[in-house]
Amino acid sequence: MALKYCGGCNPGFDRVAYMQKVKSAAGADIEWVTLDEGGIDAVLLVTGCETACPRRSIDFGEYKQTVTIRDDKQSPGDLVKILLESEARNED
Amino acid sequence: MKIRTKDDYIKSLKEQKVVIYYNGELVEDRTTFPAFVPHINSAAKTYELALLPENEDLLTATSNITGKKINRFTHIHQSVDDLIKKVQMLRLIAHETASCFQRCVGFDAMNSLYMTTYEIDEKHKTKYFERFIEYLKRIQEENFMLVGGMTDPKGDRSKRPSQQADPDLFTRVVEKRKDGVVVKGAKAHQTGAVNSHEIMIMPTQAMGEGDEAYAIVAAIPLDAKGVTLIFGRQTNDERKFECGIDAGNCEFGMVGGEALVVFEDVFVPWERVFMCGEIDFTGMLVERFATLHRQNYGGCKGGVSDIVIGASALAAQYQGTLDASHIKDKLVEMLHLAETVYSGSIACSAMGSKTKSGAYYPDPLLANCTKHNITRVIYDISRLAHDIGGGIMATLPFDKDLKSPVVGKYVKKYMKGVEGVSTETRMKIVRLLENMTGGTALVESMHGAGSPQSQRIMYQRLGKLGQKMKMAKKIAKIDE
Repeated sequence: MALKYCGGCNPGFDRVAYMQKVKSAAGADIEWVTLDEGGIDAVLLVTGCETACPRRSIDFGEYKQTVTIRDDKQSPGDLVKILLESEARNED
Repeated sequence: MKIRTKDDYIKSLKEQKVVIYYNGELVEDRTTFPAFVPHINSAAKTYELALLPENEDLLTATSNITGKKINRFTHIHQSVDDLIKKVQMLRLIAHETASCFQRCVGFDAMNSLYMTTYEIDEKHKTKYFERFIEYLKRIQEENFMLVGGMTDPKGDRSKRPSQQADPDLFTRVVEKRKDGVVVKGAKAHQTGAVNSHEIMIMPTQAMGEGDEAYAIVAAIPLDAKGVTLIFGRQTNDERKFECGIDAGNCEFGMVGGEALVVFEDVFVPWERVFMCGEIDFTGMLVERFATLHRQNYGGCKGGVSDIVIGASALAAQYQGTLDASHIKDKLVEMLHLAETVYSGSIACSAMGSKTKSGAYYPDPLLANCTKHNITRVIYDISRLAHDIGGGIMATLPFDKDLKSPVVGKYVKKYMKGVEGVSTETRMKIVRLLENMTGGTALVESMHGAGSPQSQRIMYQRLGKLGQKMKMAKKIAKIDE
């Protein structure tokens, strides 16, 4: 899964700290890569607010699945479950 | 060398031997000199954050010239989205430094020159744009730090450059040679100069007939023969030498670490000259640089204000007043003011337009309003911070008193606020507020990117007053 952050101009939560917990909850079940690496099906977009700026400049339609996180309300464990279960969906 | 990391940046500064004076003394190594290190740390953030996946969307861009991924501070705006990202980036970096990080000035010089040299060539059939592209490619490849050198000392403000008693009070060409020009004069208040690599000198105002020698744009390495930097004194500057609580923000600078940059017969080869005598484009260049620079202030000052607001809330919390209704009201007012200035920067970016060169340019009227608001709002925010923080900000004992084996116990006992928060913690936040809300930090909000009067002049030109009078007549049913 490709991990993509927004730029973080004024985030409402600590995106990096949250993702450390998500990565820790996912363990070896998810292999994290970047968007620059080709052949990606799924993207986790982590944005600091509702605007989700990368959606303005990147066409996420080319990926089978894009999950966008705009806050840290979802528990990291639950998010990992969603990521693993929603393989064929384009979930926002 | 290509600069990527903070270490690369510092190494590059160390390798370039620049003549800098601080308090009457020549500085041997600018990278370790305690008054400059905080400014280096601030500027270094523009390199460090570009390498982080969580910030690269704002700190990097794709070059329209080479197609390569570059640091955004070397980018030419290609869309409204680029203009908005610039403002977002400034707010982000201000959250890391709580002070000026200096690189926007060179960034704005590059963008204004890209647009203007294109149009000079179109009219005068010169080759400045082509030359500038070659220079820009080098900046984008090497990622070095450029000072945007616009402000001349100006001497008697009632006289034009060529009418001054001392002709050097505006930077000028004193000799044209086959291989280049010789420049004399000075640039004042130069942000980031002591920790930059080159300076782009530009005319300080629209030039008229007789002022052709002053219509000069040129990129000059700061280690060129004849260049001398004299660092400006700042409020409480020597506290930075102690690296303790009293500095307030020990790691990063206070405003941009400004310097007077003197040019004593400095030779500049033609490939580094991007305007020479075209007085008809000086006004356009100055206005574009000013607009691009005034666009920034709701971003960086909005970000700095976020820290002031956070520190004010903490100061209140540490003294047990955070839940008082008047404190909440004041914090809400500060939040409103900070988001108001940010809105201005976003608005002028969102209303940006494409220039003939293809580069995008913010709405000049809205950009001027943005900066004009800064000349008032930052004072208002600081006033509220002083109100919330209390008189302790002006009377707090020294850090050394806190650590004294004799009187330390009294400072700890009598400067303490609520239980569970140490006196040292309370002192840190009070000193941070003091550092960010007084003296040099405030003056920069007033005069950086031009004094308020320079923004008022723009309203007269761009405010469409005649159209507003017509609209009023129409509503009032006046035909005459």
